[in-house]
Amino acid sequence: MKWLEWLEKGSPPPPQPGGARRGLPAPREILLVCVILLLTLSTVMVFSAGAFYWSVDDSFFFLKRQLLWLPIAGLVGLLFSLIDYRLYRRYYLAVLGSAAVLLVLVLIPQVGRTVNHSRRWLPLGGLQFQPSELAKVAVVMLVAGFLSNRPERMRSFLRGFIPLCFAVLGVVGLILLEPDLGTAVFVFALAVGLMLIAGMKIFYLLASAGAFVPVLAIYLQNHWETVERRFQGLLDSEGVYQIRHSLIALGSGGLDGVGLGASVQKLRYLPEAHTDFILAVIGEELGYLGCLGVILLFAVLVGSGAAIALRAKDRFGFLLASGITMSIGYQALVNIAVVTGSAPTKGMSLPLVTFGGSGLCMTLAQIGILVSVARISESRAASGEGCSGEPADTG
Amino acid sequence: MRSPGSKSCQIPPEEGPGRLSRVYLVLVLGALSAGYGALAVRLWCIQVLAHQRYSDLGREIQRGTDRVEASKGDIISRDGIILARSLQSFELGLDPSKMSREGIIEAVQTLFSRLEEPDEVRRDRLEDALRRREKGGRYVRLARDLDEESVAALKKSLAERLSREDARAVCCLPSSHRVYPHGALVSQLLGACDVEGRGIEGLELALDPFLRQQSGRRLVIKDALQRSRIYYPQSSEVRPIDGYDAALTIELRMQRILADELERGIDTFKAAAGLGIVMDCRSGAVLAMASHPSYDPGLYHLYPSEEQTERRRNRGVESAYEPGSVMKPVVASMALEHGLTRRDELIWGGGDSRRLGPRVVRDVRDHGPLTMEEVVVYSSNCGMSELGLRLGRDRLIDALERFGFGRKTGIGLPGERSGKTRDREAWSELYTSVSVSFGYAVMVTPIQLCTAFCSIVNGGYLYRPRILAHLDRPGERIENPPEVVGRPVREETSRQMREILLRVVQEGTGKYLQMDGFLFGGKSGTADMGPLYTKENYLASFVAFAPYENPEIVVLVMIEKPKARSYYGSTVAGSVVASVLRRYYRVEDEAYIVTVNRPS
Repeated sequence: MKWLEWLEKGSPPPPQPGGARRGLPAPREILLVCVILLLTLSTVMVFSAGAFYWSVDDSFFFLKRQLLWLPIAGLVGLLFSLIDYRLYRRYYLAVLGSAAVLLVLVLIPQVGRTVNHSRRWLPLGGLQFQPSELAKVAVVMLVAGFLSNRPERMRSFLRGFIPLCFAVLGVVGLILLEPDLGTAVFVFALAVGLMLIAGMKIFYLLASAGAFVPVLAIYLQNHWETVERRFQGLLDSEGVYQIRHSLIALGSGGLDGVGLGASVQKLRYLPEAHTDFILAVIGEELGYLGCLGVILLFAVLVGSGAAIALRAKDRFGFLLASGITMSIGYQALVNIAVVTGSAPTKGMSLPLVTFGGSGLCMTLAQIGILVSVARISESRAASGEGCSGEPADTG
Repeated sequence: MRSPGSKSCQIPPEEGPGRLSRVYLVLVLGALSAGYGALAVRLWCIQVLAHQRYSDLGREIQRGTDRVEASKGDIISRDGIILARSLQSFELGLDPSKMSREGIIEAVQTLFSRLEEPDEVRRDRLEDALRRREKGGRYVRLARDLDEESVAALKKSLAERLSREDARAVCCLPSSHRVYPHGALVSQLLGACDVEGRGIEGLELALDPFLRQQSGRRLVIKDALQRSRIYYPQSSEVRPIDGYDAALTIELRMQRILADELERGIDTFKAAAGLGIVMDCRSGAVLAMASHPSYDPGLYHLYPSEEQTERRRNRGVESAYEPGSVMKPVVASMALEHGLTRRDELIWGGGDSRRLGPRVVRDVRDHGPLTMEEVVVYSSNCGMSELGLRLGRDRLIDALERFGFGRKTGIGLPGERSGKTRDREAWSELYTSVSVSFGYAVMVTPIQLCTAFCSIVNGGYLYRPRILAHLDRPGERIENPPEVVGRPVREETSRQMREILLRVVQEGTGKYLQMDGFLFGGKSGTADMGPLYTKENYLASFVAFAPYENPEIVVLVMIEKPKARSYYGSTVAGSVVASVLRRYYRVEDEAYIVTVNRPS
């Protein structure tokens, strides 16, 4: 089987330089097509869902901002796609450090903005920024960088696992203090998953899970009510206001939706219709087919991300691409699960679709990094430059 | 963009991902894909399988019904001028239970500083609002009849001065208010509506069932704040029904002339009150009906309260008088009708008084011997008493009955009085028959008198007086056609009476009212208003028909208690009637045209 072969050898046969392309287009092209389709859908749906938002009189308020942010975020993505991703291998600590500083800043009452009893937002001039967005990338870079710079650390408990764990738990702890349980768990799981992929001994990971139990216990004790409410919501999804209206929105959509713009649940029934619950509006207006389209786009996006990771010529690129793909893919999964009442509610956005300028910039920056990985591995494959560890091309 | 080789030497040698890593990645992302698949199935369950259930649930939450306002009918004059109309407006109020005390005070101050209402009103409203706040009231109306612009301006200034919470408790409701563009001119006729728009007086009350609109209902989709956002254009809705527009027989030009002249006459003779009616004698349509003192609906609250009832009275139908000599044509025509006399029969031998048993009937002066015609022309009570005695009780009672006295005319105005005639049992030949012959011992309303006079001059047809011409609604019209309710005299009697009444103006009591080139007939009346007949309070009346050749209109003017210059009906009321005719028929204009066109 060909794909098993690729799995073995790290990359598909390189495209013939100058020759006609064969088979599928390159993964980064598929990736970009997915991103553009999702952004297009996002622009339409943000306009549709945000036009009736309670606090603004202008129906075009969110559309205008979305259209303003798209080129900015596009430029950010382009910039990151041009930067050699191997730079982060050296500077991952700086990224982690700045993420930690921002996470601390957001906790200071005079600086961080409180929304729904959580300090998650950092005002940045007229804009707002969620430091936990940066924390996700930073943790991916940390694990990828730390483990690929000295691969032997993976086999060392004291010199490898423990420092990495402390760094990750430090970030997770800061996020927990906001408090933002959902993102904290997400970041932690992301780090653990990436360590697993990197080749960290499973025993260590199990041990870390054991170590996390007391932290979790303390948190649960402090925030029991919130947690209880969320899990109750999972069992009785229609008892929770947002979920009930999300389900009504999805359910009234049917197979092909009530028509673009005709959602009723966005008329102030659905809270955050243009952000976290935008899929519900998509489901109501465009129906099951619309939702399925979104899921398929994310699946293809994840697939092309995986292809980029697998074709990477170095461990760092592989881990970075894997981490970013997991981050985007799983975040979409969690968001859709919440919207369908399959997971407890938490403020997790649908990447690329949800309205939000800084979030969009962060996501497109990650896409840019993926493109950078793809671009460099392609050009190295083309020039026949192999990895030092393995033969570049066995033919 | 590739890193230079020298730099990549500094970092540890690159190493491709191991086989296990690749497998793990595929596993992790495979799990993700499985998750996507599961969600796709879950979405299928929600969106396709449970579609009906969630649609129903949603509909239950979102659907509501909204009132669809219809508009109340207009009242329009015969010449097409709007006399009353409902305008869409807004009222501004607040929910005191949701406001702070300071907020209420600030809101009321801000509002009234822009509304230019008197201070007392502001104080009342403030006290009201604060009191209701104590009692837990939910709504206090602050201002009504505001247009859209002023509401927006007021809301803006309130939003600036109040805190967010307080400003949210201020609300604006759609309402409508009734406007009367020609307020004072027709105020008593039209009457008034209450705050809810229901007619409570005058034509507004009488026509309320027709003018009244029926609001409709329609299904709507409401947003989470219960505000309607979407209508179902095709949905089953109760159609709103607009009220009928009521077209009156009132001619605004005539109404204005009559009201003007009446007021001028009352001022000139320093009278207490007065009324005028103009009726189309060919159909019974009331062309004008004025009553003085009157009121301007916009200034109503400014009149002293003891005056308010008096000003609201529409004397044309709501007052009854002993009319005096203006009744003489009624009795005279009936004597002719029954053949009890002829125009040229000498029925009074002269003298200024007549003794009838213990009673003495007096004339103003001695007119010498008078024929029956001259009795009416010079308004001799002595001569009339002879006609009264010849007619006698039964024929007089029958006459009053045939001319419609003693019962409501059915004009359709609320508060109409029926007047009063002496009962057969209480009727005494000597007193009642004699008194009735010159207009005493019988209470008549001006509208009755006017209607009766119409029938005397129009060939004997007693019409039901009408003030409503027709009711209109798109595609629908309800007519209120002329209706003959009796035929008290024959054509011949009517013709003779017209000639007699012309002579009244040409050489009798009304000879000072003559106009060049314009003939009209009439009868004056000067009645002692009683109740003790002390010759202090007179009722000066004049009733005329015009033009003489082809009678179109009957004008009746009655003026109560004139105190200056004169109290005679021919002078006080007659001058008003003459001015009305002159202005209505543009008599002087015509004379002028005749003059310039005459070849010389």
